[in-house]
Amino acid sequence: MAVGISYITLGAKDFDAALAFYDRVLAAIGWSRFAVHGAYAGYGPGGDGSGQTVWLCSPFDGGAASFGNGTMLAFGADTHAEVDAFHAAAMAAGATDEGAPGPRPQYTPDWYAAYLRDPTGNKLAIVCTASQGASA
Amino acid sequence: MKAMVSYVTIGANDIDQAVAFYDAVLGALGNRRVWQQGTWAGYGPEGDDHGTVLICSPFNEEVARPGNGIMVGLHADSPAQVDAFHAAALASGGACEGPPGPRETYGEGYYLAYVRDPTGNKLSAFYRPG
Repeated sequence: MAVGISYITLGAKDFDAALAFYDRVLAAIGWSRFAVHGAYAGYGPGGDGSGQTVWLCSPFDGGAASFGNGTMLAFGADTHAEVDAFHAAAMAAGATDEGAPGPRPQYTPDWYAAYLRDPTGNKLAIVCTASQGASA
Repeated sequence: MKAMVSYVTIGANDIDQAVAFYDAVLGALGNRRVWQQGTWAGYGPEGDDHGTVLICSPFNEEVARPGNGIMVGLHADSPAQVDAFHAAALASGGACEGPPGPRETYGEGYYLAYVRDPTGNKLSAFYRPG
Protein backbone atom coordinates (compact mmCIF):
# COMPACT_ATOMS: atom_id res chain seq x y z
CA MET A 1 0.00 0.00 0.00
CA ALA A 2 1.30 3.38 -0.89
CA VAL A 3 1.75 5.50 2.19
CA GLY A 4 2.18 9.23 2.17
CA ILE A 5 0.04 10.58 4.98
CA SER A 6 0.16 8.97 8.42
CA TYR A 7 -2.25 11.32 10.18
CA ILE A 8 -3.80 14.74 9.99
CA THR A 9 -4.82 17.01 12.83
CA LEU A 10 -7.66 19.51 12.59
CA GLY A 11 -8.21 22.26 15.10
CA ALA A 12 -11.49 22.49 17.00
CA LYS A 13 -12.84 25.73 18.41
CA ASP A 14 -15.28 23.75 20.57
CA PHE A 15 -13.84 20.32 21.31
CA ASP A 16 -17.09 18.68 22.47
CA ALA A 17 -18.99 20.06 19.50
CA ALA A 18 -16.30 18.77 17.18
CA LEU A 19 -16.59 15.27 18.62
CA ALA A 20 -20.36 15.30 18.17
CA PHE A 21 -19.89 16.43 14.57
CA TYR A 22 -17.17 13.95 13.59
CA ASP A 23 -18.81 11.03 15.41
CA ARG A 24 -21.83 11.43 13.14
CA VAL A 25 -20.15 12.38 9.90
CA LEU A 26 -17.32 9.85 9.84
CA ALA A 27 -19.70 7.02 10.70
CA ALA A 28 -21.05 7.47 7.17
CA ILE A 29 -17.80 6.01 5.80
CA GLY A 30 -17.25 3.46 8.54
CA TRP A 31 -14.79 5.45 10.63
CA SER A 32 -15.06 5.68 14.40
CA ARG A 33 -13.42 7.39 17.33
CA PHE A 34 -10.83 5.08 18.92
CA ALA A 35 -9.08 7.34 21.43
CA VAL A 36 -9.35 10.52 23.43
CA HIS A 37 -6.15 11.81 25.02
CA GLY A 38 -6.84 15.10 26.73
CA ALA A 39 -7.78 17.59 24.04
CA TYR A 40 -6.98 15.14 21.21
CA ALA A 41 -9.52 12.71 19.76
CA GLY A 42 -8.46 10.14 17.18
CA TYR A 43 -10.63 8.75 14.39
CA GLY A 44 -9.86 6.00 11.95
CA PRO A 45 -11.21 3.03 10.07
CA GLY A 46 -11.50 -0.13 12.10
CA GLY A 47 -11.60 1.62 15.43
CA ASP A 48 -8.12 0.58 16.60
CA GLY A 49 -5.84 3.37 15.42
CA SER A 50 -4.04 1.32 12.80
CA GLY A 51 -3.61 2.82 9.36
CA GLN A 52 -4.30 6.47 8.63
CA THR A 53 -5.89 8.53 11.36
CA VAL A 54 -7.44 11.97 11.82
CA TRP A 55 -7.18 13.79 15.14
CA LEU A 56 -9.39 16.62 16.32
CA CYS A 57 -7.49 18.83 18.70
CA SER A 58 -7.19 22.00 20.63
CA PRO A 59 -4.11 23.65 19.12
CA PHE A 60 -0.70 22.75 20.55
CA ASP A 61 0.18 26.42 21.11
CA GLY A 62 -2.84 27.04 23.31
CA GLY A 63 -4.20 29.60 20.88
CA ALA A 64 -7.59 29.57 19.24
CA ALA A 65 -8.19 27.05 16.49
CA SER A 66 -8.51 28.47 13.00
CA PHE A 67 -8.99 27.01 9.56
CA GLY A 68 -6.52 27.47 6.74
CA ASN A 69 -7.20 28.85 3.31
CA GLY A 70 -6.09 26.34 0.70
CA THR A 71 -6.13 23.57 3.28
CA MET A 72 -8.65 20.78 2.71
CA LEU A 73 -8.93 17.21 3.92
CA ALA A 74 -10.52 14.76 1.47
CA PHE A 75 -11.90 11.45 2.68
CA GLY A 76 -12.32 8.49 0.35
CA ALA A 77 -15.70 6.85 -0.23
CA ASP A 78 -16.46 3.52 -1.88
CA THR A 79 -19.77 4.55 -3.43
CA HIS A 80 -21.73 7.58 -4.51
CA ALA A 81 -24.23 6.70 -1.79
CA GLU A 82 -21.50 7.10 0.83
CA VAL A 83 -20.67 10.53 -0.56
CA ASP A 84 -24.32 11.51 -0.32
CA ALA A 85 -24.64 10.12 3.22
CA PHE A 86 -21.48 11.85 4.42
CA HIS A 87 -22.66 15.22 3.11
CA ALA A 88 -26.17 14.76 4.50
CA ALA A 89 -24.84 13.78 7.92
CA ALA A 90 -22.56 16.80 7.94
CA MET A 91 -25.31 19.23 7.00
CA ALA A 92 -27.54 17.76 9.71
CA ALA A 93 -24.71 18.19 12.23
CA GLY A 94 -24.01 21.86 11.59
CA ALA A 95 -21.79 21.94 8.51
CA THR A 96 -21.74 24.69 5.89
CA ASP A 97 -22.18 23.53 2.32
CA GLU A 98 -19.27 24.17 -0.06
CA GLY A 99 -20.49 22.02 -2.95
CA ALA A 100 -23.35 19.55 -3.19
CA PRO A 101 -22.82 15.85 -3.95
CA GLY A 102 -22.44 15.21 -7.64
CA PRO A 103 -20.08 14.46 -10.51
CA ARG A 104 -17.11 16.73 -11.22
CA PRO A 105 -15.99 15.43 -14.63
CA GLN A 106 -13.73 18.44 -15.02
CA TYR A 107 -11.41 16.78 -12.44
CA THR A 108 -11.54 13.19 -13.68
CA PRO A 109 -14.27 11.36 -15.60
CA ASP A 110 -15.38 9.35 -12.55
CA TRP A 111 -14.98 12.07 -9.90
CA TYR A 112 -18.06 12.21 -7.62
CA ALA A 113 -17.66 14.43 -4.60
CA ALA A 114 -19.15 16.82 -2.07
CA TYR A 115 -17.54 19.67 -0.17
CA LEU A 116 -18.37 21.27 3.18
CA ARG A 117 -16.97 23.05 6.22
CA ASP A 118 -17.06 21.70 9.77
CA PRO A 119 -18.27 23.92 12.65
CA THR A 120 -14.74 25.34 13.08
CA GLY A 121 -14.53 26.18 9.37
CA ASN A 122 -12.16 23.41 8.28
CA LYS A 123 -12.91 22.44 4.69
CA LEU A 124 -13.59 18.78 4.00
CA ALA A 125 -14.24 16.79 0.85
CA ILE A 126 -15.72 13.34 0.40
CA VAL A 127 -14.72 11.73 -2.88
CA CYS A 128 -15.61 8.55 -4.77
CA THR A 129 -13.63 7.77 -7.90
CA ALA A 130 -14.98 4.29 -8.57
CA SER A 131 -16.15 3.95 -12.17
CA GLN A 132 -19.24 2.04 -11.05
CA GLY A 133 -19.70 4.15 -7.95
CA ALA A 134 -23.45 4.50 -8.27
CA SER A 135 -24.11 0.79 -8.28
CA ALA A 136 -21.31 -0.60 -6.13
CA MET B 1 -10.41 3.59 -1.72
CA LYS B 2 -12.25 2.73 1.46
CA ALA B 3 -10.91 3.62 4.84
CA MET B 4 -8.30 6.03 3.64
CA VAL B 5 -7.67 9.70 3.54
CA SER B 6 -8.00 10.35 -0.17
CA TYR B 7 -5.81 13.43 -0.21
CA VAL B 8 -5.06 16.67 1.56
CA THR B 9 -4.54 20.07 -0.01
CA ILE B 10 -2.10 22.65 1.36
CA GLY B 11 -2.35 26.27 0.28
CA ALA B 12 0.57 28.14 -1.27
CA ASN B 13 0.93 31.75 -2.38
CA ASP B 14 4.05 31.14 -4.47
CA ILE B 15 3.78 27.84 -6.32
CA ASP B 16 7.40 27.89 -7.50
CA GLN B 17 8.67 28.35 -3.96
CA ALA B 18 6.23 25.73 -2.69
CA VAL B 19 7.22 23.17 -5.29
CA ALA B 20 10.90 23.68 -4.49
CA PHE B 21 10.12 23.15 -0.80
CA TYR B 22 7.89 20.11 -1.25
CA ASP B 23 10.17 18.49 -3.83
CA ALA B 24 12.85 18.53 -1.14
CA VAL B 25 10.88 17.55 1.97
CA LEU B 26 8.52 15.03 0.42
CA GLY B 27 11.36 13.65 -1.64
CA ALA B 28 13.23 12.96 1.59
CA LEU B 29 10.33 10.71 2.61
CA GLY B 30 10.23 8.76 -0.64
CA ASN B 31 7.45 10.71 -2.35
CA ARG B 32 7.71 12.45 -5.70
CA ARG B 33 5.85 15.10 -7.65
CA VAL B 34 3.52 13.17 -9.95
CA TRP B 35 1.83 16.07 -11.71
CA GLN B 36 1.64 19.84 -11.89
CA GLN B 37 -0.98 21.99 -13.61
CA GLY B 38 -0.57 25.71 -13.20
CA THR B 39 -0.71 26.54 -9.49
CA TRP B 40 -1.54 22.96 -8.43
CA ALA B 41 0.93 20.14 -7.88
CA GLY B 42 0.37 16.59 -6.64
CA TYR B 43 2.78 14.43 -4.66
CA GLY B 44 2.61 10.78 -3.77
CA PRO B 45 4.61 7.70 -2.91
CA GLU B 46 5.58 5.09 -5.48
CA GLY B 47 2.48 3.67 -7.13
CA ASP B 48 0.30 6.70 -6.42
CA ASP B 49 -0.21 8.67 -9.62
CA HIS B 50 -3.09 10.80 -8.33
CA GLY B 51 -1.19 12.32 -5.45
CA THR B 52 -2.08 12.34 -1.77
CA VAL B 53 -0.57 15.71 -0.88
CA LEU B 54 -1.69 18.46 -3.23
CA ILE B 55 -0.18 21.94 -3.16
CA CYS B 56 -2.53 24.61 -4.48
CA SER B 57 -3.52 28.20 -4.75
CA PRO B 58 -6.82 28.45 -2.86
CA PHE B 59 -10.02 27.61 -4.72
CA ASN B 60 -11.60 30.91 -3.62
CA GLU B 61 -8.64 32.83 -5.13
CA GLU B 62 -7.92 34.55 -1.82
CA VAL B 63 -4.58 34.52 -0.03
CA ALA B 64 -3.39 31.14 1.23
CA ARG B 65 -2.92 30.98 4.98
CA PRO B 66 -2.25 28.27 7.54
CA GLY B 67 -4.82 27.15 10.08
CA ASN B 68 -4.09 26.72 13.76
CA GLY B 69 -4.54 23.12 14.86
CA ILE B 70 -4.06 21.76 11.35
CA MET B 71 -1.04 19.55 10.74
CA VAL B 72 -0.25 16.94 8.13
CA GLY B 73 1.70 14.00 9.52
CA LEU B 74 3.82 12.35 6.84
CA HIS B 75 4.92 8.74 6.94
CA ALA B 76 8.64 8.04 7.40
CA ASP B 77 10.22 4.63 6.99
CA SER B 78 13.05 5.29 9.43
CA PRO B 79 14.42 7.84 11.92
CA ALA B 80 17.02 8.70 9.28
CA GLN B 81 14.21 9.76 6.93
CA VAL B 82 12.79 11.97 9.67
CA ASP B 83 16.20 13.61 10.06
CA ALA B 84 16.49 14.10 6.28
CA PHE B 85 12.98 15.58 6.12
CA HIS B 86 13.78 18.14 8.79
CA ALA B 87 17.13 19.09 7.25
CA ALA B 88 15.57 19.45 3.80
CA ALA B 89 12.84 21.69 5.19
CA LEU B 90 15.24 24.06 6.92
CA ALA B 91 17.42 24.19 3.79
CA SER B 92 14.39 25.04 1.64
CA GLY B 93 12.82 27.94 3.48
CA GLY B 94 11.00 26.05 6.23
CA ALA B 95 11.00 26.79 9.95
CA CYS B 96 11.67 24.37 12.80
CA GLU B 97 8.75 23.58 15.10
CA GLY B 98 10.45 20.70 16.90
CA PRO B 99 13.78 19.04 16.12
CA PRO B 100 14.06 15.38 15.11
CA GLY B 101 14.06 13.02 18.05
CA PRO B 102 12.17 10.41 20.03
CA ARG B 103 8.70 11.27 21.31
CA GLU B 104 8.22 8.42 23.78
CA THR B 105 5.29 10.19 25.41
CA TYR B 106 3.33 9.52 22.21
CA GLY B 107 4.38 5.91 21.81
CA GLU B 108 7.29 3.52 22.28
CA GLY B 109 9.90 4.02 19.60
CA TYR B 110 8.09 7.00 18.06
CA TYR B 111 10.46 9.42 16.33
CA LEU B 112 9.23 12.70 14.86
CA ALA B 113 10.19 16.15 13.65
CA TYR B 114 8.02 19.21 13.09
CA VAL B 115 8.38 22.08 10.62
CA ARG B 116 6.42 24.84 8.94
CA ASP B 117 6.49 25.35 5.19
CA PRO B 118 7.16 28.83 3.69
CA THR B 119 3.43 29.65 3.91
CA GLY B 120 3.31 28.64 7.58
CA ASN B 121 1.53 25.32 7.23
CA LYS B 122 2.65 22.83 9.88
CA LEU B 123 3.98 19.40 8.94
CA SER B 124 5.48 16.48 10.77
CA ALA B 125 7.43 13.42 9.74
CA PHE B 126 6.40 10.39 11.74
CA TYR B 127 8.25 7.11 12.24
CA ARG B 128 6.97 4.30 14.42
CA PRO B 129 8.41 0.80 14.65
CA GLY B 130 6.64 -2.19 13.18
